[in-house]
Amino acid sequence: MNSPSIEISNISFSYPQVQVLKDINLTLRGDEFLGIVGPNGGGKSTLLKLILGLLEPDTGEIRVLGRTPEHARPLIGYVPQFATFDSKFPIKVRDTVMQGRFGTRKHQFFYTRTDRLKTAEAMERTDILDLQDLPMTALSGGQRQRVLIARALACDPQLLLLDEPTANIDPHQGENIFGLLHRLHDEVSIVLISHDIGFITRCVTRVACLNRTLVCHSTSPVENELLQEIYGMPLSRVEHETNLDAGVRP
Amino acid sequence: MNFFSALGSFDFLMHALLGGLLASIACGIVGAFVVVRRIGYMAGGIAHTVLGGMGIAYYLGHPPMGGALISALIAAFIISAVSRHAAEQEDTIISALWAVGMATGVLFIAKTPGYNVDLMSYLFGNVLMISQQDLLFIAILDVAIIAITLLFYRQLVLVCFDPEFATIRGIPVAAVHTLLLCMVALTVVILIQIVGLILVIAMLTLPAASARLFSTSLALMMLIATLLGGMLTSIGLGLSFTWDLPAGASTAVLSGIAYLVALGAKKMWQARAKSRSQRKGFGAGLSS
Repeated sequence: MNSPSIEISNISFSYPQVQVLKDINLTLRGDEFLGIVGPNGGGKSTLLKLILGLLEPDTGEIRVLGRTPEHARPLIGYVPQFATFDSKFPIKVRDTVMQGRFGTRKHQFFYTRTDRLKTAEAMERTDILDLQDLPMTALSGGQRQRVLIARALACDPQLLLLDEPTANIDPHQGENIFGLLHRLHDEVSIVLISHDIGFITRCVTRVACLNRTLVCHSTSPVENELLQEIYGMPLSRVEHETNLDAGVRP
Repeated sequence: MNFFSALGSFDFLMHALLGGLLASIACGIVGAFVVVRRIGYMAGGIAHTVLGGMGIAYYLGHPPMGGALISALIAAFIISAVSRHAAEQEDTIISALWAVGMATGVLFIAKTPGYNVDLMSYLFGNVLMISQQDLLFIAILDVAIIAITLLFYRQLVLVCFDPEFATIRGIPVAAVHTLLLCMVALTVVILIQIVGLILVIAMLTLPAASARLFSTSLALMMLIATLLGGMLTSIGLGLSFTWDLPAGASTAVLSGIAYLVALGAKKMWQARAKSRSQRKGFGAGLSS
């Protein structure tokens, strides 16, 4: 599991008029849990989209699990932000998780027994088995996020990418999500982007700060000077030590 | 003579009733997709473009419904290509198709020699003119829509729910979207005969939007929308017969009223559920 999950060398990316990413280099080992933080508009989501092959870099190269991003997709579990969804969409939890089974084989007109088993397994790992018959509209923010994580896990990914998994959910549920990710980290490498720097440092093995350029740090509390550097303005860090569920790294 | 005894004695009334019921199937299935994918405006564009095809077919002496089918499918392909390659101009291009398509139809119909067809019946439908052959045509289109939905239900749902995730999981999102717009095109062609092209949007969106309020899955939404659509077209026809009203317009107004009633019912239902859970105390609601 220690061959690199992601190798990014010298990539730059611009939308028309604006350069969003400049000379990004990153190597992620298979057993790592990387948190990427940075201000809004700093290029976090763009970097995830590049890793997924949804966007093409202007320069540089990206290899994911030793393949091109597009070819690596079947092995990537992706958790988008739920805030961008239509929250009134009529769909049940189980059917949502089952969507993660697409791309695992060639023709998929019907779900197979394996699909059902893997779906149940993913729901068990994320602790949502008892919600499976409920519609998504009946869930809380934290529960929805778990469903999306289960959907990402349903394809047995080797790499899990999460886009702001704690946005729009209350802190207590956020803690639960991080506890869950910490458990999952034993089996897959994880990249998580968030603007919530306090949460992120607790369970990741490495923090990278992204604001057009990427700066990596080993996991240690982020210092005020660093915050100022990334966000471009004076900021104070507020220590909020709370006891996490057993098993979560301090 | 009341509506029910008239049904037995007039073939045209029976045909109209059957036409409405058959149309409700396409309407319920495709309307559900239109509502959750929010492509009502695209559906409107396709519906109005169709008049161009009907006018040209009529001018050339071919059956207008053939022209309608071809132009609806062409419009579906154009709109899906635009939304893929020039999304920022989507709105403009759909508006252009909408207006130019309609204008083309009006011009060709005006220049067709001889007895001029009643333009109003294309715009607002003439369900009482439906022939046995039309019914067969509608039934075939229904079968096509049902078959596509059965085959690609999961792909269609995922593309509507989360197109980005669908792309990542290897689903050809653009092709599925084009397929969906083609289904919309087929439904438009059916509905033109029932309520006319201007009121197509009412039937594509209102029963499905009402159904969504009480649905936990897209399949259930389709079922409820189909049943509701069947009820609305039948009652609309009954009202139109009893009080001598245009059938298409009656059905559209009824659909609007049904949607308002559904919204009200949903609000009341939610308020009741809320007060019930408050009576139970807060303890139950807190566990995440």
